[in-house]
Amino acid sequence: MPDSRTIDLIQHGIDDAADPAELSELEQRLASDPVARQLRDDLHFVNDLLEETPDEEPPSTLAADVMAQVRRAAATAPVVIADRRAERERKRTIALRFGLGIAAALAIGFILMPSMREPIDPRHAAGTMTSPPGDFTVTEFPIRGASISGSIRVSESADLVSLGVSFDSPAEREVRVEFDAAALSTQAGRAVPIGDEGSGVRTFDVTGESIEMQFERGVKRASAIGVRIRQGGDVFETTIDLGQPTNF
Amino acid sequence: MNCTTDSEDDDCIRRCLDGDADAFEGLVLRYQKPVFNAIYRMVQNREDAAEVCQAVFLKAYVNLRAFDRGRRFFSWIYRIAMNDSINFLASRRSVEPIAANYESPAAGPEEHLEASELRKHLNEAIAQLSPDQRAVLVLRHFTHCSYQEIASTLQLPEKTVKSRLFDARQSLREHLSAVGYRRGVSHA
Repeated sequence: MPDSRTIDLIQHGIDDAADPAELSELEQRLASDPVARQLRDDLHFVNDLLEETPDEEPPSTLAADVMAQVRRAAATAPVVIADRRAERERKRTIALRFGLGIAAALAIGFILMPSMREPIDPRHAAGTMTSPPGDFTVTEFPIRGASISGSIRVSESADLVSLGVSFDSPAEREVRVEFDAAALSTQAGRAVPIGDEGSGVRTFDVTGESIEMQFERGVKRASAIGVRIRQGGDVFETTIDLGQPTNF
Repeated sequence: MNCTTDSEDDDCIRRCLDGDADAFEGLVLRYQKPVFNAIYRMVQNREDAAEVCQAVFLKAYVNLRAFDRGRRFFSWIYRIAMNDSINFLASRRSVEPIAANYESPAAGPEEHLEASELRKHLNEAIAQLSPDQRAVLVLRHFTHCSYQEIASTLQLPEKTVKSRLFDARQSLREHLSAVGYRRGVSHA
């Protein structure tokens, strides 16, 4: 096998990324190295085959299908964030009002109902619910780990459930989503079970800032969503109760 | 409504963020072909590619507010496409190469039988690549990204891009050689 410098020059030549000095150096090396010449010829052959492969045309309905989903998503998430700061402020205000309302209800309950004095499982998330116009609800749950911050959004309408996990900054992380004990994966919105037994988890390697999963109702029932996020040595886990079993 | 330049990409994005969901169509029309083509080469199945492609565009729309407008949109959407394709491949037990008897609508009727056989072997070789190698190969040869653009899309050092690209090409070369194809040598 030719040395790494020769290989580098051969690739640069094939990819039209070589400057004149590199091309000259490549020709000198090839002149005295028949193995390198054969490698160059073979890689050119592969390159030419790949370049001659015709592009695959997308389905004629692809753009229309995408836009139908985009418009549906736009209808279920009417808050378009042009200013993140303003949106955070709006959420804080809603969360504060919701929290005060909950606190008042809990205070009354605490006084009147001894069973409510039991500690709340800290793993179960408290969400901030909004009810935008239309037949759907959006609930947001904060993600607050040692180094992980962001939010989980569950949007529910009559025929679609959307789970969005977004982060305040990009980092390499793994997000694991589980519905009860039988976790689901999504392939463009179809919820399908994983594994032969119909159970398992779906793990996403998220190097960007967010992931989104959508499920059409009617495939599986679940009463809770488990989310675990691993970022470096930090782990954040939460369980989102759906209140009552929900068809996914 | 169609976007044809980076500045018009930015205009579409701005209008989307201002609440005009229909403005996203400009981005879809501009990128549907290269994104679909890239995903198709990754997942090796047309129907699966269509589903993954739809999910990619929808994900891009839903997360548009997270997009760094200092970067190029194509680099971002290709990253989503590659990640989703790799995730899709990970959820499958095996990947079948593009069918030997599949006739791409893009192929002309005059394509010879030998060329068809050669393309079959090429598809088999691509299907045997690891997802990481395939991603680099697809971005280089089917979306014509430079080393730098591939590195940015996959968030890899350029050196790693070149290394994986070489390994992928070597693998294709060895596969084709094993079935009798080399430059200047007909299929035996």
